[in-house]
Amino acid sequence: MNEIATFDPFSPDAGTHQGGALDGHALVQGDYGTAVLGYDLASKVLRDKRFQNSALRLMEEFGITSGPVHDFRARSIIMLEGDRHLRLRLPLARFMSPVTVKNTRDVLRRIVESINADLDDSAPVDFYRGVAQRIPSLVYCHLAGAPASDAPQVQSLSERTLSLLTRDRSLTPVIVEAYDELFAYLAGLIARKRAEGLGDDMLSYLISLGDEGKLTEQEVLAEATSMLEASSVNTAHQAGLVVWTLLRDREAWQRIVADPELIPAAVVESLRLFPRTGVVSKIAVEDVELEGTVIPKGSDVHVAVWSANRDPEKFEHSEEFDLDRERNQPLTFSTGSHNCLGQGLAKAEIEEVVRHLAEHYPGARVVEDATRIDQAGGRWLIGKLTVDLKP
Amino acid sequence: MIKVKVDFDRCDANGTCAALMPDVFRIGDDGLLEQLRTEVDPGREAELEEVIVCCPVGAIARG
Ligand code: HEM
Ligand code: SF4
Repeated sequence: MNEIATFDPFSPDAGTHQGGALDGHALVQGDYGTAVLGYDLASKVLRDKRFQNSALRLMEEFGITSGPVHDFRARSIIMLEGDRHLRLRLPLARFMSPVTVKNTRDVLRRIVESINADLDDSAPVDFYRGVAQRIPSLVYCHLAGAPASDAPQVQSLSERTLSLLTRDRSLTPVIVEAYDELFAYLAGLIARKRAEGLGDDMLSYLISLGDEGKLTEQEVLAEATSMLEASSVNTAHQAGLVVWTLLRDREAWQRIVADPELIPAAVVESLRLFPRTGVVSKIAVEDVELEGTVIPKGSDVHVAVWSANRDPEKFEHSEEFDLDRERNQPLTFSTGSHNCLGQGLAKAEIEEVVRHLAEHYPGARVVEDATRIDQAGGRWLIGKLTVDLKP
Repeated sequence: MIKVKVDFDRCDANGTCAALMPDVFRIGDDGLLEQLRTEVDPGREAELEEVIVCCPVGAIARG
């Protein structure tokens, strides 16, 4: 028998792979290109500057080969390296670090409370649309110094622009239209902020860097665009996935309710097991040898974060939810120079959602037959999440 | 001198610190962070504060 095991990171059953190397191979190949399955190799690839984000190429494959949307992507933070990357990364970093996020906790709590105040908890609630989806865009508005009434538009813009990553070509017109709307929205917001006077928010800071000549006008807009597109949709789905994971593990949930100090560890462990970003895709910018295989310049390398996060060589009992893991560093937010800038904020948002549930609705349960967890383009998503808050 | 501490269990090797204070932090050939100095001159306090704030996982602290 000479059967070669196959794995396709984009197939709907990719989640049935138990994690880590497949028949001893941490790297496998198929029609899609190369997939990296093991944790150590995945970390190495994500930290290796010879691999670049594939988003620009994906756009080109979708027929977006020139014009403002293509131009934006080509000079955005995820595509640049070296000094040009840092020039964009550092001004944002100071607004996103755990140190800054600490000061934002009170705002986060108020946002979560205000959303929950709208909920009718006497019947099961649509937790994704009613809660998880609404929070990140409100947080973005706070961060950017935009009125809270803009949040629904921000949420929708983030969802539509990043829908590129679901790899559904029929969405091309939706994506182009969404970016055009996003550019116009930000241009209007920036003009308004200039007219009304700058504040101490992130967007004001970027505008003032532009005025001081430290960023070009184009860079200011690219920064604001990157932050807006990244702000909402991933956090919303990830918050839903975390809540779904925690409420279904009653033993873990009881421990969290009894000891809220466990919440940060519980969030990290949930996003290890159910990463929104189940696949992070890169392109080799030169020939690269990995594990004895030469990855030719220009080819696709998909880091299967789902699999790496469940690699038994890295995580003991990798399929089990374990609140007591030490040095738990899943790759859900990637790693290396392009790792997620918003991770501190995203984790804080999700922690506050969990904290609110644990404090106010310790008996909350997922309504299984009104809940659907899905996957598109290797990305995990909430189709529907129904929670009975007071069963 | 001000002591500089890195929590290597948390460090994600993204290299922001190395870009800001290359004489203190460095990303090695293995892609991991190396700490080149454990103390900096008090005159560099503002620089160090900036690095602490910019680390995306909050892994750097003053000793
Ligand atoms: C749970 C929610 C989130 C997940 C799972 C997530 C995931 C990721 C991943 C995997 C990357 C790296 C892509 C690569 O290596 O090529 C990334 C980069 C990035 N993320 Fe997030 N993200 C989330 C939330 C956020 C939020 C809330 C923001 C900002 C408000 C944000 C801003 C960014 C930015 C700006 C980058 C690019 C960093 C760079 O290229 O230097 N993310 N994110
Ligand atoms: S900035 Fe923080 S996470 Fe990044 S390499 Fe330095 S210490 Fe590590």
